[in-house]
Amino acid sequence: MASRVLIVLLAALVGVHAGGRTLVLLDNLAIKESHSVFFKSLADRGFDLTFKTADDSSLALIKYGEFLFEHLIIFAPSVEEFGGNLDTSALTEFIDGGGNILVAASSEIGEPIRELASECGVEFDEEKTAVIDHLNYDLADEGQHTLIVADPENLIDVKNIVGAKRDTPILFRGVGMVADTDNPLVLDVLTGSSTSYSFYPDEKVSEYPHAVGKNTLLVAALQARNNARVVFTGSLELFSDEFFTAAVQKALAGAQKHDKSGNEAFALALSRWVFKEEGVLRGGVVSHHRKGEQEPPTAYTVMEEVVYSIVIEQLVEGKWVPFDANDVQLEFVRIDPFVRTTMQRKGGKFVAEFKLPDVYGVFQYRVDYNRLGYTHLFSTTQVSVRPFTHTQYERFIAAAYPYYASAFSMMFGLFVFSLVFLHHREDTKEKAE
Amino acid sequence: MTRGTTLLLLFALTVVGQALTPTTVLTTVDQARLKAVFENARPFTDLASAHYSILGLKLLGAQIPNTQDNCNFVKSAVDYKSPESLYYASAATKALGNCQLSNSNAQNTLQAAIKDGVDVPTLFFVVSALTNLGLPVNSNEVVNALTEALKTDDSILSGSMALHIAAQLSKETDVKVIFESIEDLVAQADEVGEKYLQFEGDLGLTSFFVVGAYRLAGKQNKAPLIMEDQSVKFANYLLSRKHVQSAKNAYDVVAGLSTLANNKYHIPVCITRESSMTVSSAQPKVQVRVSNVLSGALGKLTVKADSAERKEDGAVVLSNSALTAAAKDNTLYELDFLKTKAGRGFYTIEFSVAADKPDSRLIGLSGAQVEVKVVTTVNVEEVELSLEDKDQSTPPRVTKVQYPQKTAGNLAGDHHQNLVMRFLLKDTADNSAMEAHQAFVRLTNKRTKQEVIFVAEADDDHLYKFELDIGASAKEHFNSLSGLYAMDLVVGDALIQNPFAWNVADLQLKFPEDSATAEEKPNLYQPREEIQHMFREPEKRPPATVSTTFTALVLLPVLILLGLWIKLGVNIANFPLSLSAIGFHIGLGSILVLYYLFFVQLNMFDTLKYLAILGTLTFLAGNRLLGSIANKRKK
Repeated sequence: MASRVLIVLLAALVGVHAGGRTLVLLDNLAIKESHSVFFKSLADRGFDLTFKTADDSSLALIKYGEFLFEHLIIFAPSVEEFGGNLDTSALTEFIDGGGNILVAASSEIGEPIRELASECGVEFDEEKTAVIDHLNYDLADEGQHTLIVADPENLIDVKNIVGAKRDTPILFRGVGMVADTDNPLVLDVLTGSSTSYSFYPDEKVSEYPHAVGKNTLLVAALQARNNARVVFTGSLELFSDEFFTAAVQKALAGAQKHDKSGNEAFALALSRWVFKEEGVLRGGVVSHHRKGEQEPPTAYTVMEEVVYSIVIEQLVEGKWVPFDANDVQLEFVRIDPFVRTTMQRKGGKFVAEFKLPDVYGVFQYRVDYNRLGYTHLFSTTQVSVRPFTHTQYERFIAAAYPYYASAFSMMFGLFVFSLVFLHHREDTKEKAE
Repeated sequence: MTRGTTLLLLFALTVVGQALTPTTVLTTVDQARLKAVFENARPFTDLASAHYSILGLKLLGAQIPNTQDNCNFVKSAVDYKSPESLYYASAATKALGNCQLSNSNAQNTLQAAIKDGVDVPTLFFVVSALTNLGLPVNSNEVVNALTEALKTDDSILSGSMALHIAAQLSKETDVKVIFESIEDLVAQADEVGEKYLQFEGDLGLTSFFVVGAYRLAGKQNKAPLIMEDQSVKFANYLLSRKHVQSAKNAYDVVAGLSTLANNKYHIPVCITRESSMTVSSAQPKVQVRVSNVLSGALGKLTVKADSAERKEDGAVVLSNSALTAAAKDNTLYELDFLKTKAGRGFYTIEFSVAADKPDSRLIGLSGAQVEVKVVTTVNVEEVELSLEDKDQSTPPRVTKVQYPQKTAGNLAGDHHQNLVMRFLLKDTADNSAMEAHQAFVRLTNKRTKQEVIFVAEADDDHLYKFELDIGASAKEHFNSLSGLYAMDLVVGDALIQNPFAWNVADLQLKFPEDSATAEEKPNLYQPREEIQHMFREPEKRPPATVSTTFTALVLLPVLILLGLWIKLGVNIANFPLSLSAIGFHIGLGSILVLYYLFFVQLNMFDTLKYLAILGTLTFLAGNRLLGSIANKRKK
């Protein structure tokens, strides 16, 4: 019994890092059952899930100025209006406050989801439209060619977001999106093939479709500048138990059959990323000093050799471990960077050695590490660099030797002349007299 | 009058047309999956899940593996003091067969639990456990306690439990009130989308109620007060949850559905499409499965297709034709759909079923709808590619292409021209022109792989035309990137069997020179280029030989002076050997040495300090020396 208590306590301690309070908004509670594998995986990973229907009148994300949840899952595509205090502005405020959101839509997409998406630079197609691909649909399709087989090569090549490389395709049925080209933060996680498009399956294509070809986004992600992560998927079914276990085979002659779709691996990897279990970095101790010394000086002088080091750690399975990369760069900045150099990894630290520029002023050591799938790491340390003191300039210049020589010969002359002038005796003159 | 009757008849037909039948069944694949769910519950961690797993397997008619291990687990996990634990254990052991609990221990606990003030769940556990263990139940006592308990507790769960309790009491017991409560309970169920009926979205509760209601009805030999369509809606709900993953939920689905597949009153007939939705000349037959909710056979049936209607225009292509039973499987029936000469399109086929030996239990015998689509192959014909000058100065060059070939050589177009492509899509079934949902022209830059997709539009005669003003679209679509583009025609439709992406030609496009290509956006996520600081170059200095020469030249006058002096016979014979003379010259020399030191290492303040001392001494010595020299000259 005592050991069981201990285990529970240990589990609680380990769980402190993992997971977090998560609000799950559903169209109806049946989704909890039909997507049970996904939710179970989250619960097993230490997330504290609270299930509510999206029109529950008691919904609130903030209470007494504090966020009640760290993560939000919106599996309520057809919601016409959120209940309680929840609306688009509350959701954007949640993102601004660092909260992470996973949104799954479907062809029954409602207005609040579309609004939230356009706030984040993703434009969903209209209600009742679907992504159609007449060349890449699954054998189990229900006639409209809307059950898309998304090839894994259409996935973004970022391990942190989509997991390790697989060759099993992903089943998708739902609404398409396009990314706002002016928003550089939106990532195309999964795109349609070049023959896909998004339109009303029952209507003639009378106008240019909202999304065509590879511009058709099936899954889009956004990491805001405050590292809040938001993922939009056009398909709620992508996360369902049914799709997790379904076999996939393109409905074309000779297509390869996969006994299990790649949905589970993809959905879980995506959830690991969006809920900050993957790709989270933090900067640790920063130290800098002159080469050969240990302590930082009050001010550097131009042209000195300096050593800078920073500890960078990555969150892996709830623990911080040293980060491993070979493309971390250090900048030495006074308004513009004067020096940018790649740091070497030495025993858990990243180290750079370089010579200070011959310009004085207030500078910053800056590590600005922004890579796909990782949180944005930004660390600055301000130092001042002063010019040479007057004694530090070069003293004996070859070109000035004539001046030195003339001055000293003058002084020598003065000394000798004063001797001769004062004490000369004119012998010859006296002899002549 | 006739018209009125027709209308009425039509109305009646529509109503029948909306009659419900389950749209899916628990197929053998589903059953295998649920079986796996039950088996995956092993190794058991608690009695309840062991009980669900064992009962679920038993209901599916599967072999229960390791019967003895299961028995041992149940025996070790059972708590003889708890009616709930005894209920799970007794149900499990009963399902396992040769596994015996200690009846005497159980009996004491259970009998003692039936007392005044007992709540409904306990009563349910007690009665069920007693029945499972084959122990006697005092029916009257139970009914009294139950009636009492129900007065304070009117939840649906308790109501359903009461049904189960009543079903396990002896036949003579008066449970009319409880039997009649079925109607009230059904009234509390929530209907979703006129298709599903459930209690509070709770699968377990819904299933538990359905099982209880039919169990009691079976015992009472009276049809339960559940409407036929309600029964179908319960079935629909249970079927909609067939993808559950936990042993408990899987058991709920299986238990509810097997009740609906096997009871004395309502057995919903399911008509589901077995063949693929697609009907084509290669696959002309529509195969449907007529079964109970567990895909079980329903005896000999006559299945008819009442009508088949095309969705787009409502054209009816078939009425009242019988299906033939498939050879291998007694639940499968076939219809050769293409016999009707149905053209391409989506069709809704409505079926009705009649049992050869009338069976009043079967419900939902008509109105079952199955959707199929008749697909066709398409041919692309009369493909013409032409480059037309905008000012019509020269006649257009027209190139004809035959699918699936490609034009010989590249087509070259520049911004003074329009690219025009015309083509016809023909249905090979009847050689008529048709339109496809997707008829896109895709231009792919061969170097950057950038794709630009245009929609080709059809005119009233279904002739597709695609026109591209090369000059005007340069900036908007092509980023003014001249080069080689692959031109593909992508044709697809839900009704086309052979969608294709055909590389029609390669185009050499030339856009206006002056339009500057848009700047590439910087990639935020790449390592940036390294910067080496450019240190300022030191100013150029004259060569050392020049300064050495001039140093020598500068020193020359001293040497000349000394040389001339020696020639003149210079001397210091008048040097008086006095303190002042020696002091003055040493002082003067020291001051000069001090200046040198100032140049090499001393700072100004140290220099001034030393100079003050040396200067004073030299001044005094000099004063006396010069005074004495002046006096000497006066003499």
